[in-house]
Amino acid sequence: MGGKKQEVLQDLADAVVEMDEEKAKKSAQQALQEQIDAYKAIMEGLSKGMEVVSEKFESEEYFVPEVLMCSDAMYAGLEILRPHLKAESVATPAKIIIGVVEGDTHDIGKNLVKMMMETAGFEMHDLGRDVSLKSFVEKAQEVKAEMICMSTLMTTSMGGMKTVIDLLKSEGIRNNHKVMIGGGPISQSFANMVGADGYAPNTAAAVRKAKELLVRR
Amino acid sequence: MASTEVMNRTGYYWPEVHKDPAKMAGLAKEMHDITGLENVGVPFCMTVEAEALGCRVDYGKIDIEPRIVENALGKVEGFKSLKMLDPERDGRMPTTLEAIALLCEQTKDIPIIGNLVGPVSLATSVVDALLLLRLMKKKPQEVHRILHFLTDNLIEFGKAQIKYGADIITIADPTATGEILGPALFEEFVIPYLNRITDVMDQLETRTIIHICGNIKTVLKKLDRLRTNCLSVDSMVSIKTLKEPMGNTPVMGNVSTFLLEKGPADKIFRNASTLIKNGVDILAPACGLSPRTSVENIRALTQTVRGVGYETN
Repeated sequence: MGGKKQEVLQDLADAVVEMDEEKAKKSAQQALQEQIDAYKAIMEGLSKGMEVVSEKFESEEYFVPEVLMCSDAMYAGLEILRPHLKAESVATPAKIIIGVVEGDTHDIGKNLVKMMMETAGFEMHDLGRDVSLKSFVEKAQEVKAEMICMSTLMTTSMGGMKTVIDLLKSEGIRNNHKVMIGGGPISQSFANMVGADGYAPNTAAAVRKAKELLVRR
Repeated sequence: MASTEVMNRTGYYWPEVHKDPAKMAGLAKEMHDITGLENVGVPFCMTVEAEALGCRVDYGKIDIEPRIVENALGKVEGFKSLKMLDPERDGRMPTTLEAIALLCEQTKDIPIIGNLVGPVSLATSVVDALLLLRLMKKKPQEVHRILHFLTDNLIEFGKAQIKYGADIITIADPTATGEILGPALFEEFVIPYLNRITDVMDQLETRTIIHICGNIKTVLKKLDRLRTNCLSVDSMVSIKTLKEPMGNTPVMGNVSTFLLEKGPADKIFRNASTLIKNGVDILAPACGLSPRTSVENIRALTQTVRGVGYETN
């Protein structure tokens, strides 16, 4: 691939890291002009940029407001490129349900995880916050989700995570869905205790864990 | 802070107490009497101001505190149409005030702690949190206008609580944490507004406690700019690291809220004792109390203080 194309991919990534919506849009247009495959432009341009953002978030150089601005730039570029995606070039994304457990309205962390997972190529179904336990199970079945992600910052909602897992078991569908949990009071040992498939202590780890758990055979 | 065990013993139940001043005062006093907490505090949620501004609240259950289920505003332009609140009339603010007055009548030497939600946290209840956080970068002047308006309202509520008998005002600002904002935005949007509130309380000879959630290590260097009589912190913060930035200002905290619920009691006692050795000035739960915390576990906390013979404020 030519130098010019490489430059455009770099510009896409930079636009995201620099929180520059205009640059992201311009570079997306350029990518189309240069006839870069839209999927490639997304994964090797915008997504790469978000990976850098994720690292900066983990290392505390960027905080939540910065990450939000970066994601705005990413979505601006995505809006231009998405219509040009060729159906065959994109693998069917894995579907993930995500939400904050009933009783809790703290959702900044969940929103960041959702955003990062979407960037990584997952199809996210966001149930929001204060989500009833049955909803996790119902929605997972409805969209045939491969994974259910639950989060909470409050001890009083933690028990709900076990209830959801028990509901899956009692309906005989536990093996249809991976379950990952996270949040302030959550730990690996709690995850083991309630029978979750995965636990992640932060946003970047959540994305890595999801990729690990959902490796297609 | 309340425990369902105390509710069951006394008949003062969530969610009824949230709307009934006599029951609210009753529960606060029973918490003091039964668990050994050395103050009484109202209200039992962080939704009073937000509700008065138009947020929809779910009052919860016996063991789930009230929470905001719908923002008051979809867009920040809506703030221009909000009017100043009247603490003696709007929403459940009068309930809190009457409960404070009742506690004043019913107790003699027990400090009455009133509570305010901090400006940034209140802002993120009134409009979507992510929207406000974005605006901090995109339209900072807009955010300043919003925080200014909300701070004016909080000051009025604080003044009213003092008028009705509160001895101390705690400002809890969970969203205003270094973890979410980072040091630059913390300095620009959190410190000036908290200080405006505490300065007014100070003029009224009322002491303040500021509670900030989460890991504050990113904003340690900014803490000395905060004007307050006491800083309360979350469990992951090392008390020792606060000694330098806070100087002589007392530090409060930070027994893990999760540990308090889980126990066992002797682990709580050991944890609390270590905190006292490390220099905590006021022993308290790190981030509120889960209502499912047992009386035994809370007493493990309050007894630690007495056991070591340590005097609190």
